[in-house]
Amino acid sequence: MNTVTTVLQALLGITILVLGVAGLHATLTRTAKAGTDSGGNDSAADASAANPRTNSPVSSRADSPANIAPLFLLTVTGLMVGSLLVAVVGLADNPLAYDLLFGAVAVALATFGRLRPATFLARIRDHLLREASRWKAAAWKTSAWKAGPRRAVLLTSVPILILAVAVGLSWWSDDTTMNAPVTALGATRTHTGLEVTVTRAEGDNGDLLLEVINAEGRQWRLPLEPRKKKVDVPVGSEATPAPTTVRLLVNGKIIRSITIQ
Amino acid sequence: MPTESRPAESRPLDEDDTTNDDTTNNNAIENAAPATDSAIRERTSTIVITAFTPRRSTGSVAREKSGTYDNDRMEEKTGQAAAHVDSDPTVVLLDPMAGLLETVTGPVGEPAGGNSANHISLPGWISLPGWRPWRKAPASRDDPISTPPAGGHPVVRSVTTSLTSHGLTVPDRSLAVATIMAAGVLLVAVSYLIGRSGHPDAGTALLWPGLMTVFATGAIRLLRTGTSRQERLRVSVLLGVALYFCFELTQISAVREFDELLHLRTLLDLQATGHVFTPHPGLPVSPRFPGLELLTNSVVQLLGVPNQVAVIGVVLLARFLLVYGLFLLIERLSRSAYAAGVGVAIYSCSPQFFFFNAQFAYQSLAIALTVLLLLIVVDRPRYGRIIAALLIAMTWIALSLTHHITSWITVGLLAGWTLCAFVRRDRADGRALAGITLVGLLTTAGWALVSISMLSDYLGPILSESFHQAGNVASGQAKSRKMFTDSAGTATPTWQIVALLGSTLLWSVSILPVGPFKFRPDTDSRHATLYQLLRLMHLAFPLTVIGTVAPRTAELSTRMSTFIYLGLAAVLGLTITSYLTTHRTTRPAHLVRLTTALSVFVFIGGTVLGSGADWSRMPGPYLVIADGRSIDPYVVAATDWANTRLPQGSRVAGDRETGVRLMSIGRQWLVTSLGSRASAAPLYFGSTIGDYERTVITTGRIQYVIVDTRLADGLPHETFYAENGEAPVGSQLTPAMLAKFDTQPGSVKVYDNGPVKIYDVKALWLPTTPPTTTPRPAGGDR
Repeated sequence: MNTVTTVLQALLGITILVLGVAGLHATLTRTAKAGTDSGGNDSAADASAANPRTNSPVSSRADSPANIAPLFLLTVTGLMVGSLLVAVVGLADNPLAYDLLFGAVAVALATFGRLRPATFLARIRDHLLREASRWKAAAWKTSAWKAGPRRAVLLTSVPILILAVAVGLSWWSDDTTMNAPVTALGATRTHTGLEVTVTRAEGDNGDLLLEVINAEGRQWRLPLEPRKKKVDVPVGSEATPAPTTVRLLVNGKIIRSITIQ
Repeated sequence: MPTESRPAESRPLDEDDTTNDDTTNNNAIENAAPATDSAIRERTSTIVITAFTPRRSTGSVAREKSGTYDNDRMEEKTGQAAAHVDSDPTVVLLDPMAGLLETVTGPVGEPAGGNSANHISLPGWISLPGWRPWRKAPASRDDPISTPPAGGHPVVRSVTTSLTSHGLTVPDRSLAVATIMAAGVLLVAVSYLIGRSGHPDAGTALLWPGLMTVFATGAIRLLRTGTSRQERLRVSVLLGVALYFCFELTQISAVREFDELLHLRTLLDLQATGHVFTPHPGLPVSPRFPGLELLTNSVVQLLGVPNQVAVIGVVLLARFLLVYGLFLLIERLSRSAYAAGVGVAIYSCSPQFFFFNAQFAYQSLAIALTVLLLLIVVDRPRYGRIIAALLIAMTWIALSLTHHITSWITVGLLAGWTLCAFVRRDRADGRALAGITLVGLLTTAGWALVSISMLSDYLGPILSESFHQAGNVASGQAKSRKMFTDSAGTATPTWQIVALLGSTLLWSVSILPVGPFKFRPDTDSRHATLYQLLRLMHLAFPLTVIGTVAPRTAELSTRMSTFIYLGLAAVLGLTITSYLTTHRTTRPAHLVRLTTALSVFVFIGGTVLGSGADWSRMPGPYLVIADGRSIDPYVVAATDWANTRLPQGSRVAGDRETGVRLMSIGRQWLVTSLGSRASAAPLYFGSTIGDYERTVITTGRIQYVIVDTRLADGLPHETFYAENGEAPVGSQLTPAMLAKFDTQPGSVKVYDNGPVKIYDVKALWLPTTPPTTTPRPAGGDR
């Protein structure tokens, strides 16, 4: 996938997840209300003997099930079970299958939860406007900034930045350590000949020479550019299986030797 | 502590204040009082006052001794509320956490006291004669003084508690905690950097301060009596997440732990074939329990992120859910955020928390699902029948899909819970729990039936070996396992042994009714049955100690500790917090500090027990068969070459570490007795390649052998070079054994990077068996 496709896929995926979670939240809330309205709420029924007032829908709304634990739980298990369904039909390698399935589920949840885009967008707009006004009121030049969102964001960003530095540092050091090039020689036979792979470590700065000797004693000598860390050397007319020796020489000295059948 | 003993009146009360939101708060009363009934309920979140009793509040020891108590100070402040409550004993209060976090109270309509018989009318608390210590059953820090059990059931009144404690909570320090923890993680990252640069000892010297910074920061805030509920929850989550990062930073760019690579293979198979159940050469049972990989793959496919990012994200999510769920579960049982926070801190000290349960392995997700299932079952009345059934069913399905052992243990837990309910003659609860258990049993057994033969192949030998080894040790036929050294002879430092033994001793003593552990607070009567079960789990702690006598039983007992510590965390969380808040001392702050220091000590002990020798926690130069420490640039280069140049699904022989990487990243078929019913391990131990070796090659249809000549440098740190039972214990590979592939006609070297070489051995197959094409797993390209 190219960068554009990757970004589009990520945006689509995030949209599906956000819509799905919002729809699930709305659905849970609605189901809870409906359950209580119809007297189907288990707890309310159980509790009514002890306290009839708790059977009111208002109490139930206040104690909405749309809180974090079930929301997370249903999201995780839903993704898992949905992914299983996709895999059962053999499409677990296909992003489109996931987009379609989870997109449909997200839309269904949003519909069932009566999540109206207009209301949703209006709420977001209101929220943004409110935030903007708070930020404006707590501008740097005013004395109110210390109690405003700017300071809060600044303070919150400190641990995040420190963690980001820790992760970035570790990623860089782990990646560069693990993938440090080593001087290696490998060969495989292809339809057209031999494919020889040479990698060289940072410290190997000498003149590298690749020597290929086939079963009949024919010899090729291929100098390798010093700065190139990885070289694929297709040696033609070696398609017929026969022992062929490949050697890697540094300054005339054999440092690696392999044989390919 | 001055902040704790400041008068309640000094604290500004406003509706949006989220600093002091432990259980309920003062402003809730104030908000509720002047409003009309309907207005109140529009803004409420079902905190129900069932009774008011005097209590001793934090930081008020001196006053209690003189016969007064902090509630006195609340009368004036809450007078209006009191008047309102007087007319309506069931008052619904505003919880400022609503919308952000879950409410603390239980299900709708279930008053905190459990039944109406336990309700005490409001004037009673106002006119109660005075504070009387009730040390037998303090339910929590928030409510250390319970009334005598009514009808055999203790009464817990969380609301009362907060009325006093809220005025005494200290400012929210979540951000400061997060910053210090992040600094601790950075310190750990720097220690790994030093380790990678070739100085693992210096790195280790820095690692422990980093880990202790992270843990101690969390423990200090969680053990502090005045910390608010919201901060406790935040700090608990931060602690779990920060410790996860401390582990993950060892291998942040690519997974390298053995178990993780096994599961990565399942994930890659899923992505390559599009199907589940693709045969797995190293852990055949893994594709049959693909919950973790299915979840990870859905993240990869939906968001288009690389596998490594999705792996980190999913394990991080699992860690968050585990800590969050555990906090809420203990809080539900104890009605105390204090006990919940301390419970999470205790669970962080469990052996598998830092290391094993932070890995990309099925147990990491499954344990989180187990905790959430218990929480959902506890909370089921609040969700209503349909949603509760949906939540429970989905969780059972996910659990069954994710991990065999965990799902069975969870069924066992639910069965035990059911039994406890019937023993307590709580038949209604017992019947409901029996139904939930039955659903779990059917789901788990049904899914297990699909893979019954693989499960018996995988778990059968482990269990039989465990019993065999334990029996031999018990009968004196075999010596117990050598403690405090790994199989290569690397000794554990003395100070770590002291911490390990000390923590084990402390947890063992905790099951005895001595010292602070004499406190066995009863909990909310509605959850008494689950609490009883958790107590039984706590009592099972010695099993984890006894199990360490033999290698196999040690492995089992360490795995079991994941579950046993759930009980330990819940029970001791409540016990310790009750002790801290009720113990009469002139210096309560010192007691808390001492407990904090002790917690750091047991954290070190638990972490050492679970993660083993220093090398397992610190990146550094190559070590012989030592998980991530055996994966270095040479191994990476060799396996990368093999993955791109050799035909996919080639049958290869390899040692434990290079083999599993080759099998995982490159989806080659590593020949193992578990996946191929033919072990390639004996191939390495002969000095020459004779008939026996050729038979091994032929039987296993081995095409390539990968040899790391550094294996001859020493004994393996992880028990064996390639497979369990490959050679008598203590057998060491020699350079001659590994060099035989260079000189044997028919064995041709196709790759060489110095230490690591790959040989083509197809020509060594015995002529009786014609070479056949390697059976490959169905699927696409690399």
